[in-house]
Amino acid sequence: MPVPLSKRTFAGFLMGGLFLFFFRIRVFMLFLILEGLSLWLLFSANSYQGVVWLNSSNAVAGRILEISGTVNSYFYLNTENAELARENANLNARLKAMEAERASFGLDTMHFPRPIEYKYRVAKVINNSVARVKNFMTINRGTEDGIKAGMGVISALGVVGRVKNCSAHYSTITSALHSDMLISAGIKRNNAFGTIRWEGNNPYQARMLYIARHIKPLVGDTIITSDYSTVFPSGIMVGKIAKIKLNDNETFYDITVNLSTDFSTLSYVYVIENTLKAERDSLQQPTNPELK
Amino acid sequence: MNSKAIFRIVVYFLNFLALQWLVARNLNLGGIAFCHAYIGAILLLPIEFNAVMVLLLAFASGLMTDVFYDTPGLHAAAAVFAAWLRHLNQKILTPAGGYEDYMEVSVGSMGLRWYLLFMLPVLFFHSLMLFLLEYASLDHILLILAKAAASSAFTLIIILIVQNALYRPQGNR
Repeated sequence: MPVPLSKRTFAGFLMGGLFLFFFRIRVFMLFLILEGLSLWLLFSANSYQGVVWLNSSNAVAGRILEISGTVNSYFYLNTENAELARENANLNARLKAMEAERASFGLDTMHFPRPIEYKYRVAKVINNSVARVKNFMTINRGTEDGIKAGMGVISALGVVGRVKNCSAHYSTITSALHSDMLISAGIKRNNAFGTIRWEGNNPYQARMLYIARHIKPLVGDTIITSDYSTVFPSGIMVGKIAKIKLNDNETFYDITVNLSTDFSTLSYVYVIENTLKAERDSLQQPTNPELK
Repeated sequence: MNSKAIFRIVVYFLNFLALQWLVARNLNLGGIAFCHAYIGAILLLPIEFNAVMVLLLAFASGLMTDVFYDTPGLHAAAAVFAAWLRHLNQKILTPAGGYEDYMEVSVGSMGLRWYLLFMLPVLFFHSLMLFLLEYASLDHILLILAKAAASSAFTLIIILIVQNALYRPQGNR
């Protein structure tokens, strides 16, 4: 509405002009606000517990993924079967070996009872990806089944990842194929220990870091989880060394590992609860606050 | 805009989102070309749809897509960026006489040249934004550019297939 010239004040002019200006650039302003909000979510969501529902372990998304997963799983029945059969064979072999061990030892008076350290729970993978730089998967077990954030996850073939978020019936897992995921691992043959980290491109290979010059790793050496991890029991298969490089000016080897778990066909996994984790962490933290 | 047109837009929109969440999420060619079909839902909105609404819809659909990808904010950021680019691009590409009511974002209505000029830049910069944020570094810039180029072409093909398979043109214009 036009205001008579005599009644126009400077403030009035400024306000009208200002509103007009903001109205003209409203699309750009809204763009900036929404973009800022998204980026804030992206860069702070990992530590911010308030947006914990914003992932695939929330009930609605979990249900949808479960339905689409049941359809998909029919296409992988063969591989699943083969994997289960192989695991059966492995377990049988271990049972036989342990029976033999028990028979030869007889009564061991030095043995003292120790609480059971690890509990295993089986879960089905209902959502998975290997193609991104930061990969996650979703399983159909949650807090009601006793799953908690931070527990380790393995498959019959080897290490899989770590639980990130839980809802009542679903959990999301940070896959080992996640560029920020570090796994404490060692070479089985000589107990040298280092860290496994995924490079972000090939889902079948990862990098092993911090193996010092004086150690002699060989191509084909088995890599297993080390005793230092509180997430995984020691001795879980990680992979085999595929390539070794040692540059003259570097302290550590450049080792490429073939991962033993095939993440692209993962169907059933085991969630591992370390019942003594809290005790061990509370002992280690005051000594070395950096250790987790 | 009559109720039939609104119904059509809603069906379009939900179709593309469902496609993304259930199927396209698992599609990739050689680890280079990814399908971000949900951007089709935003790009194919009526040409002169309110830009504020486009931005809000893009943010909402991006956020919902993020729920399925476990990447809070990543797809939302890229989708909002794409919606803003769409707004700019639609202004740049205004035909000599301005847009008419019957015009829609399709090859049949606007011609192949306009369609490609409208879709491809937005798709490319959407993918580029997405991969830049995902890698969060410029170390792999060549790989990122290759992924963005391949992904935008792949996404365009999927959008074209969906658009032409599900929606018959409304008579000859």
